[in-house]
Amino acid sequence: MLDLIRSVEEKLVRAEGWLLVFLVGLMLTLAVYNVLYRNVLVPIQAKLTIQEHHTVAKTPEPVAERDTKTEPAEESGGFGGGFGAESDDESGFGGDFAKDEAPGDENGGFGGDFAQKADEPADDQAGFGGDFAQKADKPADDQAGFGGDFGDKPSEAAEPAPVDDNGGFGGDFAATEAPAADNGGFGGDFAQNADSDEGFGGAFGDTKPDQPSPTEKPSEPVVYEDPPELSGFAKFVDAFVQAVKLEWIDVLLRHLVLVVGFLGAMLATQRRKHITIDALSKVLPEKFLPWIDAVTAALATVICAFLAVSGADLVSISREYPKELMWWADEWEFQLVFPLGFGLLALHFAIRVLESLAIGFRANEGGQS
Amino acid sequence: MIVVIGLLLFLAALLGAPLFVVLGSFALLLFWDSGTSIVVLAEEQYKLATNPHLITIPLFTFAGFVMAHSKAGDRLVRASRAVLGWLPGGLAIVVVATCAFFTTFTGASGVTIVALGGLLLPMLTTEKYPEKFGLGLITSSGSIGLLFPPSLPIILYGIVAMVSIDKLFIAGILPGALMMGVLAVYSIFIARKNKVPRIPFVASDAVMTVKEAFWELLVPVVVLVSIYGGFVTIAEASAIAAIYILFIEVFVTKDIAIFPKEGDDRPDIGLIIRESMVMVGAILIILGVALGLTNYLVQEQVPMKILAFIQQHIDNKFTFLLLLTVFLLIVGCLMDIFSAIVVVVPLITPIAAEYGVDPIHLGIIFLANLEIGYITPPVGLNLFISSLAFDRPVVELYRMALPFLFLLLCALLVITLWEDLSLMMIR
Repeated sequence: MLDLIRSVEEKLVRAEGWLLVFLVGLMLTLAVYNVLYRNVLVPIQAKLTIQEHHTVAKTPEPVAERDTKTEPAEESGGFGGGFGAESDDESGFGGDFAKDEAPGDENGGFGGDFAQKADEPADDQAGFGGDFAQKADKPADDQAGFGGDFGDKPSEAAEPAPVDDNGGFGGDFAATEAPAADNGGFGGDFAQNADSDEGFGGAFGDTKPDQPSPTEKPSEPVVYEDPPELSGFAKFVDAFVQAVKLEWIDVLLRHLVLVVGFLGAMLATQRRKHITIDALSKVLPEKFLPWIDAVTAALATVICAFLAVSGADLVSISREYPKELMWWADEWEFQLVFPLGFGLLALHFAIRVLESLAIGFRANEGGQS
Repeated sequence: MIVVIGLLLFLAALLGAPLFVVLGSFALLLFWDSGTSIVVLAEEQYKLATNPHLITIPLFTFAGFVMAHSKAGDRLVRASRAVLGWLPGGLAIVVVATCAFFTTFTGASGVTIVALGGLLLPMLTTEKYPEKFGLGLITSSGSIGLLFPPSLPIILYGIVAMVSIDKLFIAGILPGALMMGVLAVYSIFIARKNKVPRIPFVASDAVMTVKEAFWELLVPVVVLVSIYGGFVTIAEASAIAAIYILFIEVFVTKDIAIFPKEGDDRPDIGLIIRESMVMVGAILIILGVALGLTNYLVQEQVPMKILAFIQQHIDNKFTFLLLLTVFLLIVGCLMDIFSAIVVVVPLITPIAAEYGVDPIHLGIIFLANLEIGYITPPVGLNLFISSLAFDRPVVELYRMALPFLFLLLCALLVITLWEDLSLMMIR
């Protein structure tokens, strides 16, 4: 019986171990990708687009602190900051990146939105995909996307997209805000050039009058001139960099840490490597140890079960009020880690109880014979 | 009733129940008692997922474990010996320096003593250092690098106390250097007293060994320059450190294998990931559960109640700091550093703020105290690890560590009472 349980646990632990290795590998890859993206690709993009346009670019006001909904760059989600620096020298490009990922995710389903337009309630646009250059087909906003490319328009005012603010992706580079007060903390509006109406001036100008608060935007679309065209290569780089900007990575990474933590804790249970205070067991006679171990493991089993229930409650609450974390996952899907994680921990501890009891009985028998 | 259960839980903790279980039971008990739904526990734990610094914990830990499993330790010892060995007490200083370096990256989990002790102790005894001194030195150096960036306890402190990790990193440098300096001076004294022969400086050796360890010596430079050069955030720096160290150990020095193979006894990446994440998991689960408990304490204004109580007896900052020191030393020798941060920090930060202690300075005091707690008898963790690693009775180690304990306590007093030592670099 005990052997069977042990072999089951061994298999379980092996599976957990491999999952752990995979997830840590994934975490490392994504984290490194993020670093490269923010520190290599974006500066290149900025440089190219700015070189192309330095003649038309006015120096916009720094936009850094405009956004009140998000935290300052340094603190903003995970890998945030990195960029702040950029904004000073790159005529008006910048500050934005830093603010694009407040933990609370104003940006709803960003990134993904490349492909995800279809599910947006705002139906003003023909699924994204090819339409980097999907210009002026918006009745709502007359503005020709940016340089003829990219600008896919955000949702209309009339459609309060449940995915919070600016209905979608950074189409809004050039972005013709939806008149509604929705474009909160997102970074789409790369560089809200205060008043540069040459569109896209130095950067992805989301050219609209700068307002202290996003909620006070004008309720009608601003009329823009056509922004100047980028040359082919810059356009390509620009599109490419934008296309590989996976905004959800930060959110995913932070959740991966939780999952990895649980898996690590499971292995720690099996290896008996949990942090303990454990002052008495060093002085107690050895024959008591298995029994003490059984008692503490039993306590742990019960507590983990309670915590699993608490996690399950959280999941059911979140399912009632779903919140999108990334375009491909809701919050509750990641919160499942609590009931599952604590449940498995309870299982591991229960096995420990049995093991300790077995050791205790065997020692007793050995003592008697 | 509650009190009885509380006492039983405390007993369970002393008997070796995992700390997260004890904290979780307390939280469940208290929430149940106050009629709050237990879903709060999961909710609080989920808040971890909004912390942008959280990812530094697995990444820096992984980086540290990769180093610990490679032969970086040997290379660093050789290099620092060739460079510093000619000094009086040179080898002992080498011990302090390499242990500090190692601990900084491995987070004082006892890895340092296990990984380097076996190498360093024979070196010390063959150079005619008294064995007692050697054991004491290695035991106390096993936690000496905690105040240097990017050590894990600093990061955890920053997360729990919600103070700037960047600033904590900088503030820790001088106090950390002071503690190292105290040990180094004592080493010189012992070396003089025992007439330890000095080895001459050989330039070619120094160049060669430094070249060997070059990539590892570069690690702190990479981390610090990337953070303080204004290039990246701490989270990004942890990713850079992890990938850099992994790359060096796998492709440059080839100490680590990518996959486990028959007949290849090098550790593989999978093994290191599992080992490092066991530690990460053990820390994170305590952190997560403790957040629920903290939520209760804040809701019930427990810190304010404690404050009201001690304010009746203590009316100035100086006395408060002394009391704090005594309290933290006890905590430090009873609890592991990570759990101490998670459990104690939320309680003392509001109180210390009332007495006008700077939050950054408080962090340094806290960590310095816990660092010393590692070698405080009767249950300092390093004492037990050394006792296992060198196969000596723990009581013998108590005696050996005593002079070091005394010296470090003096350094601690300086750190505690001289605020500017911590704060001058961030002003």
